[in-house]
Amino acid sequence: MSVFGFDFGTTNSLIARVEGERCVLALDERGLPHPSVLCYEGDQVLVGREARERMVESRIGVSGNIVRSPKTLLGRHSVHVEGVARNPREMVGRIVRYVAEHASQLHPGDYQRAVVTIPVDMNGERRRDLREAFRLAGVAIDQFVHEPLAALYGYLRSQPDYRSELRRLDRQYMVVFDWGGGTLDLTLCQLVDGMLVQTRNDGCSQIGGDVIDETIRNEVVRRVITGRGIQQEVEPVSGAAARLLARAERAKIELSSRESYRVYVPNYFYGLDDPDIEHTLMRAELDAMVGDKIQSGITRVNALLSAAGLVPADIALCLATGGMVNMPLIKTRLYEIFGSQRVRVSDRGQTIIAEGAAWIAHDRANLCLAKNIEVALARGARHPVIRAGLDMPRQGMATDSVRLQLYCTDPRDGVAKIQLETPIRHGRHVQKTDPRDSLALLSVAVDGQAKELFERVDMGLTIDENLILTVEARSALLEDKDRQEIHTLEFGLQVGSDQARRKQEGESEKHSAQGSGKQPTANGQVMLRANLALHQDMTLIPGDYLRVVRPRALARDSNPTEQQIREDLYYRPCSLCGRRSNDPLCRCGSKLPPNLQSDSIQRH
Amino acid sequence: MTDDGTLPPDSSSEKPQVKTVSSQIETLMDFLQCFYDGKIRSLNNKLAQRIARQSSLPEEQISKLLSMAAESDPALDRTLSLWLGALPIQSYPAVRDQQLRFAERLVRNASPVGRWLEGDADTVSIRTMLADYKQQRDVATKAPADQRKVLLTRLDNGILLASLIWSQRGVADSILLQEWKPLLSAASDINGFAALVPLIQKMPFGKLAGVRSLLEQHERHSASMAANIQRLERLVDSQKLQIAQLQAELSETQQHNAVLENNLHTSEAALQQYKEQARIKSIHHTDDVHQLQSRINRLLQAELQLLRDALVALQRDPPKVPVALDYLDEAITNIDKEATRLKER
Repeated sequence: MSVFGFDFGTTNSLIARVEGERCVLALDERGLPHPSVLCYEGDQVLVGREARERMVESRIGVSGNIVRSPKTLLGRHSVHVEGVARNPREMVGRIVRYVAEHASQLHPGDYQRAVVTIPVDMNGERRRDLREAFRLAGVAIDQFVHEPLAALYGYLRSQPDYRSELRRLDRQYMVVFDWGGGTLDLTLCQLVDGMLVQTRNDGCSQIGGDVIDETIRNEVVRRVITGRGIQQEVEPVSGAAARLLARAERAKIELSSRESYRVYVPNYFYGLDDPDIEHTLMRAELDAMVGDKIQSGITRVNALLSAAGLVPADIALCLATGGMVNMPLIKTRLYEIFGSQRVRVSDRGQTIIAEGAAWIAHDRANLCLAKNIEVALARGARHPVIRAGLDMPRQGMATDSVRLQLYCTDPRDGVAKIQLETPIRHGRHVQKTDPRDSLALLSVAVDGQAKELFERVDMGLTIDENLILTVEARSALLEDKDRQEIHTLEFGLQVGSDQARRKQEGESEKHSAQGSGKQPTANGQVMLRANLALHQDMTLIPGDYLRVVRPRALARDSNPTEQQIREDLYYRPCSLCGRRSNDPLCRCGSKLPPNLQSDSIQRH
Repeated sequence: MTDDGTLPPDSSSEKPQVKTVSSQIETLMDFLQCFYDGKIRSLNNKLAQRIARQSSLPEEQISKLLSMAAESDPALDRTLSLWLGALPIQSYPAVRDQQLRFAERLVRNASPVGRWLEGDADTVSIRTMLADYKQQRDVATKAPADQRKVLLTRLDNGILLASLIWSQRGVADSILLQEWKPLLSAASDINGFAALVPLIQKMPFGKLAGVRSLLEQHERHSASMAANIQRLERLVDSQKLQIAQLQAELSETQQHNAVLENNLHTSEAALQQYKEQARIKSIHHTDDVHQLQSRINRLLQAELQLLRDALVALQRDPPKVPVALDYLDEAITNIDKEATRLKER
């Protein structure tokens, strides 16, 4: 079954697929992507261009009977459109079905499985909703991929020798500058350990191309009204605002090569003797109208680099894409920052993300975990539970559950605290001193009377098809459970072919990591105890586990250690009442022999 | 064998002993004892002359002799030999008759041969006897290998003795031959017939002209069968050769088939590849056409709007000529650009 690329963007949606080493796009009749717009007219639902033509405002979300970018509404149970409660997943499903049907008509083929692009900030809950919406439309999401990564991959894949380009960019930083109709998205990427990762992101939905077009339109209207000395309140004729918006967009493009552009829209004003709008817009005027917005967008580039501790000289490539980057002012500013050699302005700004998704589908490039996931141990030590570079599951799959057994170093407060962290640095090679972000904190009740390092906590981690990490912790004796879902993992895109090497390295590192025990001291924290031995020594096996695998080894004549006897007794329920150790309700136990007695163990 | 019928001497040391055996025989009883002991094999005229005077067989000794003879001659070989040996000594009827009578009694006691001699010459059914013989022979062929030969020989000798005895009793040779014919006809296979030949030759009717022609027919039949066998052997050889040739051809055909199959797979793969290429080309072509169509469509839509607006500007009172000129100019420029681009494609 072939897999295609689906760019489900905020403004537009587009399907692309690779056929014979060429990316084929399913554009609409005007050669443009399908607007992600729905219009409810009675029982009828218009989708795409037809719905877009009924829009007069560029506002995202619900506006009258029009819903623009329903993707942004995912995560909500329902939204009201003209008083009717509608499910965002169903709205998204309609657009997906519409775009897929159009693609199927244009280029007949199999459109049941897709690599779908998502914004960087789309969390796991919304990813789950998006998958469900696609399923409603009859399309299975094979894999998610972030839009900037898809754009970068699409650009790299379009290079004549993209492998040498990849080698050139190894460990280099790249900026994806995507200024489209809806949003400005800035992404700092790096090629680390054979995967493209997003180091830092920034975005803004207030200065999208549509907002700038609206600004031009509103400014033209204001200047015409001022110039003609119109005092009374005037309303535009129905549909005229949309025509003026189109004219403003054209003016924005034309003024990139001309000094002036005459904006003329007949029959704009309702009820005036001269209903036409006529205004000659100068380039300087345009710059004055939108200059501050463009400046604020450009400023974000510097802010992004500063936040990452970088300067423009550190950037090997700036990929400028989106409809807005064709404005000469924006191009010039980017050239000023990075120099013309490192700026690549994509002439396929509206399609490059879809193309990237199609190439990812074609190349079977895997999404992988960008950063290690670590568990914080007592005394500030950390154990990497899941390594960066782990392939993310595709549709209908989940990663193998990672299980870990931890020991509570100090159970006096009756709670074991488990903190999951992720390093700021991408890749697998992380230093101990690198700063970390906290991912989740779990706590489970443990036996407060237990001796140190007796109470155990079983932890399991798994990542599902929606890229949600689920962590479960359970105390062995009290069987208290805690569970959390983490929706904010960071991902990279596998572009190299060194997976086998990485896996081998990962195995050896795993063993060495488990072999290094940490000394416990912190109150209520957990520690990892080494489970490797140099020689076959039965005394190193925990007593309760020994009871399971070799019960005769616990007999007196086999000389088990005191520790093993304690562990065995601690985890063995009362033979009379079946209650756990230290259960206050258990009255039938007898004390341990004096030589094995401790304050925390009773022998039943 | 020596002239007096004793066994031939194997060494000089045994010579006096042989002479002793022959000289010891004074009576028919002596002879029969030696005969069934295997010390002597035939009774010649000289010896017959000597024992002619004492040829009577006392009844009290006969039963002992019969049991001894039955034990030492289970296949009735010696009894048949005794019967046939008695026939030439015509000059000594006393000896001959006693000898035949003893043989007959011995045969009558033998199973199942004895029951073939029941009745008299008028009531005997030679056909029943032969049918029984055939049935017994079928049974004997299924006996264990170590007993089979003795049983079969006993039956063959038994039927021969029975026939001789019935002939002696007065059943005509022609009747015997007539009864034997179905048995001969039934022995359709050459081996079965061959087994009957020595029997037939020993029969009372063995010298009759019909039997001779039957034996000649048998010889012709044997020769014909031998020729048939040779012909069949040649045919088998020829078939074997043909099979070898066919196997060689089959092997060659299989090799050729494998080559053809390989070619077919290659052709199918090539066809599949061509189909895939054609499909991709078709998609690329559709994509090119769609791109061009949409580009022209977009251009026409945009420029049409400009032209419409220019027309409206000209229709205003007073006409907004600069606006119209600007828009017309822009539309013409854009259309011209696209036309140039299309020409250069």
